[in-house]
Amino acid sequence: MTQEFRAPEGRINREKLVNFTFNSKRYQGYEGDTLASALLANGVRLVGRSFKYHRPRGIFSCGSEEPNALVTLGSGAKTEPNCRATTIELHDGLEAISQNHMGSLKHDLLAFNDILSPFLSAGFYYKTFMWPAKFWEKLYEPVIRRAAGLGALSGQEDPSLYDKGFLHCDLLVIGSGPAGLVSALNAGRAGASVILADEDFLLGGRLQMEQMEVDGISASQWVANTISELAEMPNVHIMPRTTVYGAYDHGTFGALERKTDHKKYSSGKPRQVLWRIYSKHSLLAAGATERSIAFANNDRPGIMMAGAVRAYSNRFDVLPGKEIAVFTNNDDGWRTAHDLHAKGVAIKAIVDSRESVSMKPPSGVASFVDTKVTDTMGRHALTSISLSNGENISVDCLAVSGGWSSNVHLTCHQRGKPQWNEEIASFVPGGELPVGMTVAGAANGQMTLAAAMKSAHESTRDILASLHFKPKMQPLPKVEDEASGTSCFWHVESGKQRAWIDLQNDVTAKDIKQSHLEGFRSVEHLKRYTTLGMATDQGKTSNMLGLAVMAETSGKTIDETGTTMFRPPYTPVPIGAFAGRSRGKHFKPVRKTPSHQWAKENGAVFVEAGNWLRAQWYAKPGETHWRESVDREVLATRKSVGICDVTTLGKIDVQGRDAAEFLNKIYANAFGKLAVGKVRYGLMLREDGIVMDDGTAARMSDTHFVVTTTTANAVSVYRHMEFCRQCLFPQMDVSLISTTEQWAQFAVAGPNARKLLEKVVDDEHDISNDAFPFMACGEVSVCEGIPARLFRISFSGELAYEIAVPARYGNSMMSVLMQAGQAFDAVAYGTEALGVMRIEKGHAAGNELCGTTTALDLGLGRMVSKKKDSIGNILSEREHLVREDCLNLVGFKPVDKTKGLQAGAHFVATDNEPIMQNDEGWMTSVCHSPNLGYSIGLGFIKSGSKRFGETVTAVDLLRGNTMDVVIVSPHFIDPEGERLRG
Amino acid sequence: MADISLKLEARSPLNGYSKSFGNLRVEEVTGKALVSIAVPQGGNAKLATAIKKQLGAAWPEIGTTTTSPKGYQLLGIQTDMVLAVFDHRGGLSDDLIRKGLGDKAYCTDQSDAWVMIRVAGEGVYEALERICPLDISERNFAIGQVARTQMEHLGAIIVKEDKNEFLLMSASSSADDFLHAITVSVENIL
Repeated sequence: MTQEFRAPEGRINREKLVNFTFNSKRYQGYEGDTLASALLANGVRLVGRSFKYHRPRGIFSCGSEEPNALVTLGSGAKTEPNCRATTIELHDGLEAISQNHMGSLKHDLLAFNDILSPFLSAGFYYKTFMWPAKFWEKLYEPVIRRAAGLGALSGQEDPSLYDKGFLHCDLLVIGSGPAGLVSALNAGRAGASVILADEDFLLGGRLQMEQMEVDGISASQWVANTISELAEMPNVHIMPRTTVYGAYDHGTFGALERKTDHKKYSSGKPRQVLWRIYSKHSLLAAGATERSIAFANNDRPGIMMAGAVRAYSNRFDVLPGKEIAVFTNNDDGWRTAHDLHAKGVAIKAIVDSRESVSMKPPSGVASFVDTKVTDTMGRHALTSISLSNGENISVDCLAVSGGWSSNVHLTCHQRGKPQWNEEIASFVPGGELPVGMTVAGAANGQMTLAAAMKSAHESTRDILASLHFKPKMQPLPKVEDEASGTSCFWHVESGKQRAWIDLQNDVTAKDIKQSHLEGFRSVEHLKRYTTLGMATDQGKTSNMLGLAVMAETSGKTIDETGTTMFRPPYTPVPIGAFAGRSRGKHFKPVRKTPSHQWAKENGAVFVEAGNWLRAQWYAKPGETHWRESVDREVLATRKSVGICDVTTLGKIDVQGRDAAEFLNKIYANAFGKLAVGKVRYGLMLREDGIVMDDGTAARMSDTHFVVTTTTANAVSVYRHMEFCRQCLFPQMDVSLISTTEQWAQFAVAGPNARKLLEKVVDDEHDISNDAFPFMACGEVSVCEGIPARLFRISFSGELAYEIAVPARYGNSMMSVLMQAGQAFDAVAYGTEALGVMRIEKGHAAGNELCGTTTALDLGLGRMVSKKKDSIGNILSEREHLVREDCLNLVGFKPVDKTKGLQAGAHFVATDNEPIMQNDEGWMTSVCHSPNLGYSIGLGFIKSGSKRFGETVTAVDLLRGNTMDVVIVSPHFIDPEGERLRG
Repeated sequence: MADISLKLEARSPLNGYSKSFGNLRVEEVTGKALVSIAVPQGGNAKLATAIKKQLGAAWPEIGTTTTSPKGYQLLGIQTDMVLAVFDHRGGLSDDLIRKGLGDKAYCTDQSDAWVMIRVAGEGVYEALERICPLDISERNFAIGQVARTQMEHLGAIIVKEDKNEFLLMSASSSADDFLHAITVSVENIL
């Protein structure tokens, strides 16, 4: 199709033709077009169907406020619905399709909704479809959703890339119109670091859409000169295609930069970057948005905002119609008539609602004062309008101007409250603005060019002074103020005809009146009842109109009626942009143990433990079930020797003259007299007496301890200890630092553990039972001089050691240990086998240290030393915590040993009902014991240590399992501890 | 008896990664020792004097670094603690420092706890602004400055070594993800 609606001038690149499709039909436009301008140039008027009634809709505006022209871009996984044609930068290969119709766009089968409109007024879905209730989810909602809606997502994973970033500046200038450019130029020249952001791909704002002069040259040329100068400044960062969508705390802003959306191929780069901008000051120069007037059938394709009609003509060389009329309540609407008349377009009439005006129409153009448009005709596009004076005029485009509303949105993101300005018929920024924000230009109510530039000039001077710059402000550009008289005229009585307020959500003036009749007095309630302003455009062209009609209906002033709350984002932001690059396996960082590579090469199946990846078990060829691997690892370890990477346990270096006393405070048991070269198990309580964590503390010297924590609590324990050091015991000479990452640590467990280690530890270190008994520790060397630390501690209950080497040797150390263990059939074991062995031994772990249990519950009551003060000591003696029938950690085995126990099951007496009142405790940990040949468990039960041999019922209602279990000692293996001392 | 055929091999967290991306180079810095030096209570002046004498470097203010002709660089990262960076000489690096400073300091070897990655070349600012929340522009972050921050949820230390050169440090266990964060940033701005 030829571009028959192109005018001879404009700000597009006529040297570069661009091919695109709309509803699979091929069209051409030019570089610099938006999809909307290119469609208009090709005579396409009908571009979509309305949300609820499936009314034919056309292009309404020329910016991000567009309510009608929503299209779906791309195909397959790259499908992106609800894109505003007015902001889509035309590029080769662009594919767009219209939305929300069944059948073709022109012959939409769901258009019958419009016939049903008397039954579908505001709030109809709150009142109907109530019975039967079960039909709502299964029938009514799916049908309604199918009949009404916007575009649809692909249902596939978004294949596009997104990124995030951080920017800093002295001054963030939001908007590159006349006010924004004056500000950026002066701040840039003064040496301030400036970010100039604009949502448009062509900078200049309204200066690119008008036939104005600045400093004696065309406005667009002045913009080009200014941008050119700014681009040369290293302290100025110009960001076109960037929407500042939210104002957050302390001068922080969210901004979305579209990096490759305007290109056919993204070349592997992120399509969008979500920026967090830290500004010392911001200047909001976001301009103003034109609003409509409500009159009967004011939604037909061809009825557009007057400023948009002018912009399409001036910026894009596009004439939205060949016979155009203007309907306005202000002077600005007349400029549309003048600009288009100058291009030879037939202006059929200027209709002004005001009783008198000082404006003159272009030569030969009829004007009607104190007149309104009362109705329009044309099924798929406008064909004529009816006036209140009885005239009917044949037109294909009606340019409507109901006045301009300052874009105050970002000023309200910290709960600023806009103030009504009757003189310009607009809300302007009011109340408390976001920290560091100044507003200038039309966004602040200075609606004319000269006033906008002047306000920006003065504001920037003040901002720079507050930032301690000494600017030499340039003289203000020479410009003239245009006529800007306006009036508060909102809607034309439409009788039974519908006068549209919110085009995107199909809200009419009648809907608003009805909501008032039904008792919705607050503007916030009106919004939610009618859905006014709740669509993707957030009511940018409709909110003002809606609340003005509400004010009229309720007999209040607009000021008294107020606005709804403006919240981020200013325009829609893809969820993918918020996620950035944190997707899939890069959703969060992964910590790998030093022997990760060795584990990977030796069949490890990994499990996430916090951010760590740990070997869960090592599958051998032929093993088809995880239990085979785990049983093998447990049996081999208990029979000979096994090796496990335990680096993930937290390690904290505690140094200082008061290190021992400090440990006395944070642990419930005593550490003051622990000898150098010895390790002690430690129990850490919270202030309230509940167990926080457990671990060991090894005394390396008089002033040096190495504390270990559980993997899960490594960070929280370190944080707790720092809190104690800095806030509770600041008088103590103690220094803390984490060494979790510094040392690769391996448990070597089993009867042959010592023999294995003797092959690795250098000969000068005697690790015999006499020289290095149970709970000994010391610095040794391995493999001919590599420094290491050795601890004789056991989690498995076997003769066991933990040996630590600097992490750089970790991978190699695992290999060396396995090599040294070949003679003993050593196995590597993972966290599952580790868990099995600690349950067999009756050692508590995370499941038992669950934040609700006490030392007494764990059978460790005597560890809470009463000879010293420690955190949690006093409150652990609360009456309820030390009662006779408190919980005890005990062991359980099934009566029927062919059955498997389940963690989480609750205990009740065998003859009791499984209800809360009869609950006696719960199973915390279970496993299959390959040594015993049946399932075993640990758990808490009232007075458990006095009930060995008693049978109770373990009830797991969630999984439908109930079985009888016998209470036994928690020490299933080696209850006397002979092995670990061997 | 120890089996002398058993040998340990050292491997850095990124196995010596080094790669150029246009004008930018990303490389793991290896062979460095890193030791935390903490001040015993009330011993600031004594330790500063001892450090000056033993290491040849002044005690750095927080956010700054100092260097010495002996090859030590001290990073002022927090109250009452600095990190000393120097060429690794085998064994436990804290022993080397401790011998010189005695009981005037509490030293802990951190050489294996951190991965060090140098990012250098034109475009380094654009690359790092994708992950570094701090203002590291030339006007705000001078050569020799150091800061603690986080990048892609990972704790990090950043040192400006030269005009277009930064040293980044993060936990060695998540070195792969830290490197990924950096290289993705570099690739995204090329």
